[in-house]
Amino acid sequence: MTNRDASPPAPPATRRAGVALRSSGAAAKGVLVAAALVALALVLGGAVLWAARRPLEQPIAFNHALHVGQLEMDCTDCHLYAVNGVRATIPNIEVCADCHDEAASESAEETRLVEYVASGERVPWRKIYRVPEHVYFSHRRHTQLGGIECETCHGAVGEQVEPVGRPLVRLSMEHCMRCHQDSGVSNDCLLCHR
Amino acid sequence: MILPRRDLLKMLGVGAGAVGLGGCRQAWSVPDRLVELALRGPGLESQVQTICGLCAGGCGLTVRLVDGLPVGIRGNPHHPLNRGGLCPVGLAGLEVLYAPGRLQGPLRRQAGGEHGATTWEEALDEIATRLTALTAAGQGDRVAFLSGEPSELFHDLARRFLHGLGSANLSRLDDAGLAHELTQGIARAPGYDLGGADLVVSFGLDLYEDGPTPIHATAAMIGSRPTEQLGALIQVGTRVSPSASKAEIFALVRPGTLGAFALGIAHTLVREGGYDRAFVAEHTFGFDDWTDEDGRERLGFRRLLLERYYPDRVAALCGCDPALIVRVARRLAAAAAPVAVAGGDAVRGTNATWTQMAVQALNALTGAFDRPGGVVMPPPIPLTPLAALPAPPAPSLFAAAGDETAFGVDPVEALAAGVLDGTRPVELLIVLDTNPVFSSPAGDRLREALARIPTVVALASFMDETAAAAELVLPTPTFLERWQGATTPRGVAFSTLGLAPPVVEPLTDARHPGDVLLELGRRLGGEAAAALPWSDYPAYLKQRIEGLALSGQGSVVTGSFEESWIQFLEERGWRFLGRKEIESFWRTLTQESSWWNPVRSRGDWGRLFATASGRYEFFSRRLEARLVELGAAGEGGASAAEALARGSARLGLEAEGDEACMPHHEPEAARGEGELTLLPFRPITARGSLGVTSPMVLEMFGYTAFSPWQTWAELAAETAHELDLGDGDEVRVESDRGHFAAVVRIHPAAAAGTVHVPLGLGHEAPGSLAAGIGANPVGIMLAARDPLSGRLSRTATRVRLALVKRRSRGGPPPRHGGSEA
Amino acid sequence: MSRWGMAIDLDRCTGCGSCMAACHQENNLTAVGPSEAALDRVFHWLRVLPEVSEAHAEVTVTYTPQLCVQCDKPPCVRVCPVHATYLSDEGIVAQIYARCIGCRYCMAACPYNAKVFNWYEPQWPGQLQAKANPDVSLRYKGVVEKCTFCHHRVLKAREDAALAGRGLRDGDVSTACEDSCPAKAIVFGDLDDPASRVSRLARSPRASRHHEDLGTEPKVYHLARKE
Repeated sequence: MTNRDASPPAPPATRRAGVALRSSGAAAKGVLVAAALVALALVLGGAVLWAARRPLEQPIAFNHALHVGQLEMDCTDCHLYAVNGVRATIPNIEVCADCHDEAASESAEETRLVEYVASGERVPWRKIYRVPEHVYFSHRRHTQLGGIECETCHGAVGEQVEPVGRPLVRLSMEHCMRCHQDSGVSNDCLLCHR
Repeated sequence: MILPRRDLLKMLGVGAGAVGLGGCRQAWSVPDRLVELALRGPGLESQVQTICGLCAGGCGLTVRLVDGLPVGIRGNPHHPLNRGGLCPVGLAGLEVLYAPGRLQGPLRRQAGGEHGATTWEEALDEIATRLTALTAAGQGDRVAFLSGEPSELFHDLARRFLHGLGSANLSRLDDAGLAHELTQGIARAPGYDLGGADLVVSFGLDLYEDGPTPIHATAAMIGSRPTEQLGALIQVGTRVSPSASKAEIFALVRPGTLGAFALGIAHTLVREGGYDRAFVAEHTFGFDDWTDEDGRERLGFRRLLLERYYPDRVAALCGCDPALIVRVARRLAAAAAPVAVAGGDAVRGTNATWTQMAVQALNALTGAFDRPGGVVMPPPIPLTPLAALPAPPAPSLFAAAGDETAFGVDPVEALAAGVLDGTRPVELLIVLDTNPVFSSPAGDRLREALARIPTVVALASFMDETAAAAELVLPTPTFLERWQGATTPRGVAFSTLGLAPPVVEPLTDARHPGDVLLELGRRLGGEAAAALPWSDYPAYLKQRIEGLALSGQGSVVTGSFEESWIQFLEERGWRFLGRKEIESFWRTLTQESSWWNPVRSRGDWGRLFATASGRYEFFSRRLEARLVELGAAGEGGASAAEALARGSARLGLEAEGDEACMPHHEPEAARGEGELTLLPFRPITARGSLGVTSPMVLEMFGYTAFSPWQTWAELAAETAHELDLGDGDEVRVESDRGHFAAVVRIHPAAAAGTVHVPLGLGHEAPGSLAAGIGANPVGIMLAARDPLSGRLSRTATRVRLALVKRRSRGGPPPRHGGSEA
Repeated sequence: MSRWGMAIDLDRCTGCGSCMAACHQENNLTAVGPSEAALDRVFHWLRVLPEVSEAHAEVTVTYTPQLCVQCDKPPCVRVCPVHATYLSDEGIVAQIYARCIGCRYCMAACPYNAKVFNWYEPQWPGQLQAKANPDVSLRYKGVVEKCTFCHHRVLKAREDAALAGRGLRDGDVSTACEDSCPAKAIVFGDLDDPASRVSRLARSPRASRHHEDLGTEPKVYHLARKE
């Protein structure tokens, strides 16, 4: 296990590939070994490519637009630490329960959330935006001290009706450095590399 | 932090392939809930104050928590003992907390001899049933308790538990403290005001690494002072340890002659008039020749010194330059507030009691008692007293003097002997957080004895050698997971009380030893239950603390040390305002974790000198009485003088007559064949018994000698040359009892004819990283006793070195100043 | 802009090893285990080293904490082929692990032996990450690593100061070794601030720098009484 990127244990690609591998193995029963290998490679490769392009699937189809647009909520109403903390955090049932201790609509998705809240089980949200393990990134430094809006790095998440499955803005070192340069902040490596 | 590399994982029995989450989830005990928090939590930081429980030093800690998970430890900068400093073992606290191989739940020995899982319910039932049977049969005194918990608060509870059963058999296995009893009439060692001393003369004690509170000593002598006013140190010993390297004068002496060196200094002080005449006249007994109740002329300490301990003779004994003795004495006489302390070799030999008496005599000669920068009695902590219980019928098996010793016995040896000879059977033994099978020279015999004791209960966090020999092994929480109530460490000049709730909930199925005792009391019912009426350990602590709260004495440490002191004076001055209730005091105390009382009432001679004469006794009347008693036994009609001589002879003393009752040089016994004397020492990395469960501590174990993960044998350059050994050679250290392997390190400043070996490594019991690493020098030590205290010597064994393997040519070059012999 | 430096008072230092341990814990250093230790692969960013000197037939041993001295003219930087090690704006000789290719030229160039090579993939099980210091990265196999003057603490402290609406003050930033030292032998601070404790100590007649003759301009000062 490398920590070049402190990613969560099992990325979906491998999991999908595993399923495909097993089913293709069953289908290849009795066929020539070489053909089986070719088929396997094809299926495996296809599965990987397909999985890589596919956005992450969130456990609940959360509607940002509804909350931010219609209900006029702020990002920090739920992402509690985006301004005052180092990590913004993805809200979980403790936060959701403030409004969703019982269903306010007939949405199937909300019903599932209320079930989570009722059972005390945590919603297994998938994290979309991440910086590599060797990067020190502090939210409060950028939001509170730097006065940067959430959208600058996260894109128009607030307008998304569908659950966010992939980053709307691709976070890269180049992205960081350009912004630092434009706003006159030092690009000294040590400022971000740890 | 803990990075188990290939080796470490192998040692844990985790294959390289299993380094995933699953494989380590068993080995490392971090609950999933906390992992989840650490990986996804908001990263909210908080700090809590607590007390380090890894040794008896009682340092204050600040634990850094991120989302409630401890991720860092540092010294509490406000704590009066350590003032922010912390030793390597304390800094490894988290590695101990999360260490692999921690006991996960209660274990019971199965039919095949292996330990298997059991439940607390069953284990406690079993113990309670056996205890009930014993008390019903009137055999409560067959219960014994060895405790490694230094706190007086816990000790009181354990004593009550035993008294409720009718047993007095409780021992903490700590130093005898007999020298203070004989000369000052006090059972507890006094405090040494290192913060106020301008010169400390240390006999054998590695002040900044060893002893009860090395970090406090460093803070008091150096850390809290401006650079121009650092405390000066003179070291007398057999090895230049890192702390001894700070000494302005280092006197290298032969092993076993530290007391003689002290007497040589005393001689010079007396001859040159450099002693405190007023103090000696007013507060000491036996300095000048005196006449006893029967009109006999008795020898005074002054004449003993002048006639017997002149520098030339002492220098010949010690193997040093006589001018050195005079130089040290003059430096001592010139100091404004000097104090002499003893430790290490000075308290481990067969002449330990006399050596300590000789060192304490220097304090009497310089009038260091009850003086700032001297020897003082810390004020007692005004805890709520507990209603007295009837004393158990039989005296403690740890207190009775043996036939060959004057005052005491070695607790481990006494326990083992009593069980093995059947003279003092033990039916149930509780061992808490201590590992005498490993740490005592009588460990082998104890192991045999444990096999004969029907029920041995070990309360421990790790499977150590003693726990491995126990029938029931019950996990205790580590210090960060338990309620702690730490009382003033030994040798500290002011009173402290550390009180801290757990920082995290126990990571394993562990229970606080206090709660275990209370629960057993409940199950036993009757007197045992009545003796322990508390619902749980915090309730007990709270009741004891109430007395402290209402007394209004001392103060909770809230600001920095200096602030706290000023606040202390501003708030209360020298008047004590009683606080009216416990709740707010309890709240503040548990939050800040420490209370202290630096106020000493001077002139309280009764507490310092509780002897019959009310004075410091150069000539110990108590020792005299005991020697006479020993000499008169079975010999009716002998005169007191004859009885004294016979008593001394019976103990095998060289000194005759009055000299035996005073500090004097009694030659150190030597046991076994060999050209070298084996001298153990305790590096700072070997503090406490749990440090070795940390990979970091093991990796930096021998950092002073380039010896990670191994036991080394320090030799003086000339000794190595004589034996044709070079730095890095592997040798076998052999005594008449056994042998172990070590790597030679040539030490530029060690006494010739000695081999110094660090304590702390050489564990056999599986379950921690330390298993199979290094060697335990105690394991090859031969039995020799201090004839007064009965304690087993650690410095009497003669050993031989046999070359096993030369340092390989391609290996790293010798780097410890050693020359290729 | 600060210029970070450190003063280590050897007259205070007792060689207790606390700084070494504190550094190990703070910076997520790794224990390599007994067999690797036998290969001399133990590594510390800060070591307490014994030094033996013999003068006037008297042998003295002193124990000195040694860490990267953060040269103002660092020889290691000049030899790095990939710009992984460089002198930061605030005078810290930084090692950017993501760039480092592990060629170890810098280790060879360093006259202070201050850089160490990470021989193994860090086999950090997830749980252990939980107890590691979250402010410091976990380095991987094949990079050179070194003391950072606890730079992560500088970032944190500056952020805290900015949130309180002020600049950094002397004493706001302390390194882990400084915190743990019971003898208060280590002082960290801004050498450009003439009033800071460290710059006052650096001006002391007792102060000297290791290998000053090499012209590396270290920013770690060792203080000791001159005989």
